[in-house]
Amino acid sequence: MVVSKAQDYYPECPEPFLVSLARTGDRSAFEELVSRRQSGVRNLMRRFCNDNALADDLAQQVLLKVWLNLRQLKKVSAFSGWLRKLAVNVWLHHLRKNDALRGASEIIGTERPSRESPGVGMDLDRALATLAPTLRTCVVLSYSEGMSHREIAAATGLPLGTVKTHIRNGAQQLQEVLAAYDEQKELDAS
Amino acid sequence: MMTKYREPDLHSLFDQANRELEGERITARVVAQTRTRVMTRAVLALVVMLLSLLVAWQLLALPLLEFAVLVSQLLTNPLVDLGEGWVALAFLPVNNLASLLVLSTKGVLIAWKKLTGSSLVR
Repeated sequence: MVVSKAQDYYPECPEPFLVSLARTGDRSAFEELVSRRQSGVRNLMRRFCNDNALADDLAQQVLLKVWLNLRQLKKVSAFSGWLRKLAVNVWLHHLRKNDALRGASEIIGTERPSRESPGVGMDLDRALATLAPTLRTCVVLSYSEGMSHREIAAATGLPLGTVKTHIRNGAQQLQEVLAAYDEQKELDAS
Repeated sequence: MMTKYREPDLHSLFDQANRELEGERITARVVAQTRTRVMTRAVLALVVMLLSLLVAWQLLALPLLEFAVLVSQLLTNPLVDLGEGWVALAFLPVNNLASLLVLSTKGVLIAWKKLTGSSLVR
């Protein structure tokens, strides 16, 4: 007779249940949680940094922080938002460590994307990489994560007005870069 | 596939860019790291505990010893001066504060048992 363990049912368990178990120190539940969430965290980090290896390293840091701080999570249902906040904090910490946020509240002097032909292999991550780190962070949080301006201001510590300007300018620059890519593609096709 | 960037809907573009990534390796790495963290914390806690014990030993050992010596001297001091003859030697085991304390405790316990019929000490 084959005796199945509780862990065998984890893949079918709803996430809040897994979070509750992981909070009590259940490593198998945490493992299942990581396997479910790793893709989202890695995608977010890839949008942020356009470097798959670095994105995976940062995602790993985020997931480890989840394990270490899960007991601080008050409501199991708030796990998604809490995880996103952790991810943003890890990314911001990385930026600060690399001094990328210095003078972040100044709009003037942010780098402009090149209007030259961007190349055929360009994708969203590359287009994002042409934005200054703070602009990119605000744009990704707004468009990819659906965070409100106020939430972004709270998460990044930037003034609300700066966040709005960053998102507007960032989206505009992104559209310009992507449009240039589109034009190039059409030229190549004809 | 990203098309028509001239009027790109950035929201849908971001949605399209988010693809499901294979996660066996990263999951294994994260879980392994949690184990390492737990071990590191345990070792760190042990080292801190040992260091605290050492420091406490260094700071408290001598004062504690002196206190113990003082207490034992106080308890073994003769209650009645019987000189230094054989009488003093014979009464030495009972002629001190410690014996007095033991005998009076024993007396109280016996009296309590006689009076109430139950023992104070189980």
